[in-house]
Amino acid sequence: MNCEKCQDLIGDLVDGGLSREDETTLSLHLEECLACADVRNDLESIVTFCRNHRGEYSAPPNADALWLRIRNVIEAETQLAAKVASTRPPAKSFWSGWMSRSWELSMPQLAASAAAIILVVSLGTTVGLRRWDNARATEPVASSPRSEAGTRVHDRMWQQQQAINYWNQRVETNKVRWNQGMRDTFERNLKVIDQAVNDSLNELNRDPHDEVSEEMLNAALNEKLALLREFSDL
Amino acid sequence: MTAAETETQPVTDYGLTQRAAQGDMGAFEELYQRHNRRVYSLCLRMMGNVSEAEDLAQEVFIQLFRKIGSFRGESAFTTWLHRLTVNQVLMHFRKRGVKMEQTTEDGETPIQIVKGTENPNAMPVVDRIALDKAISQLPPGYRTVFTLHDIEGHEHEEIARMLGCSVGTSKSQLHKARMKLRGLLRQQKVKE
Repeated sequence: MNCEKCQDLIGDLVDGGLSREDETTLSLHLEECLACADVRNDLESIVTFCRNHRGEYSAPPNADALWLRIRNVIEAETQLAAKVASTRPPAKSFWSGWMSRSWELSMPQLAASAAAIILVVSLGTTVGLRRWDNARATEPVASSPRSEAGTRVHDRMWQQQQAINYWNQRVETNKVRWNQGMRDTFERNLKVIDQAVNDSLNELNRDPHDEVSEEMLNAALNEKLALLREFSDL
Repeated sequence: MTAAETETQPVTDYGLTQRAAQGDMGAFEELYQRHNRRVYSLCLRMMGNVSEAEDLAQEVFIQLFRKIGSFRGESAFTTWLHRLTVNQVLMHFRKRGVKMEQTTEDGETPIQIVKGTENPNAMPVVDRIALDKAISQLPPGYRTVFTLHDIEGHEHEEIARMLGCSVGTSKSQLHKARMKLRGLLRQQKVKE
């Protein structure tokens, strides 16, 4: 065994991941070669030190000041969310709107409404009975939580994609006015964000319940939207 | 268990997350007090820079507050928080355009095979300050893999998943990181 091969294997030796055969060959080389034995000793002391001190943490320089900064940001966000919620006019519920309407119908309108109601109810009953029969004939398949999670992500992505498409169109219109530097900046930023989107999507494909990746995907899409908005004004 | 014993028992992390999710800032502060060192240390080791580590730790706790309601206690809170922290740091690297497979500052430089006569000085006994200093001098890609494997104790499979690279890449990055670290520790001794 030469020194190059030996030093490639030292890491596995230190981690205890070598086969018995490789370990024997390596030990023979280490007995003869002082330089490689030196590398093994050094790596062992680094790794052992790290293992022995695992779980020891250093405090932030000023933990109290850091907490104040965190609390300020959170409180500012909470207040902003409350403000936005309070300025939004309360949505009129369907039933309150329906019930507060004044209903003045003539006789023909009343008759037509009654006929329409009868038609809808009978159609609904027929379709419902047929579906019920079909459902009984074929074994019902419960939707899995995995597919629900996937659908949720897909729906959110679709909604954000619509907004992204809109702003993208505006960016494309304005792009001709940009200089090369601005184009490069835009493309560079977009590439990084798209990479983050793809990485998160790959993670979600592997595990649709991965909330962190879902959050990262959401953040990346929001960032893309913000970037497009910003550049659409330039 | 008596009522007094129940009262003196500390609230679990999960209990605190439930209260924080309802907007209880006191409970969230308690979580911060319990875990800020862990989060900050991880950020510091992965970033190698105190002020950036502080900023990232701040971002981690803000993110934590935003999504604390989604923690259902299926895993240990520390594991969940650890993952959140690692993801936040990796996202930060991505934004800065740091290539995780970057090998050295100059690009792909093969590690020199150390000959016995080249440096007769033995590596100094490893201590926390020297090691932290050397880790901070590693390129980001090396630093990340070394921190996750040797300091935090993750397996190569997990690291590969987190970084989106192969297990082989993770192993090779770790080997290069250790060798680079060894060189840096030796240099520190020579300077002394």
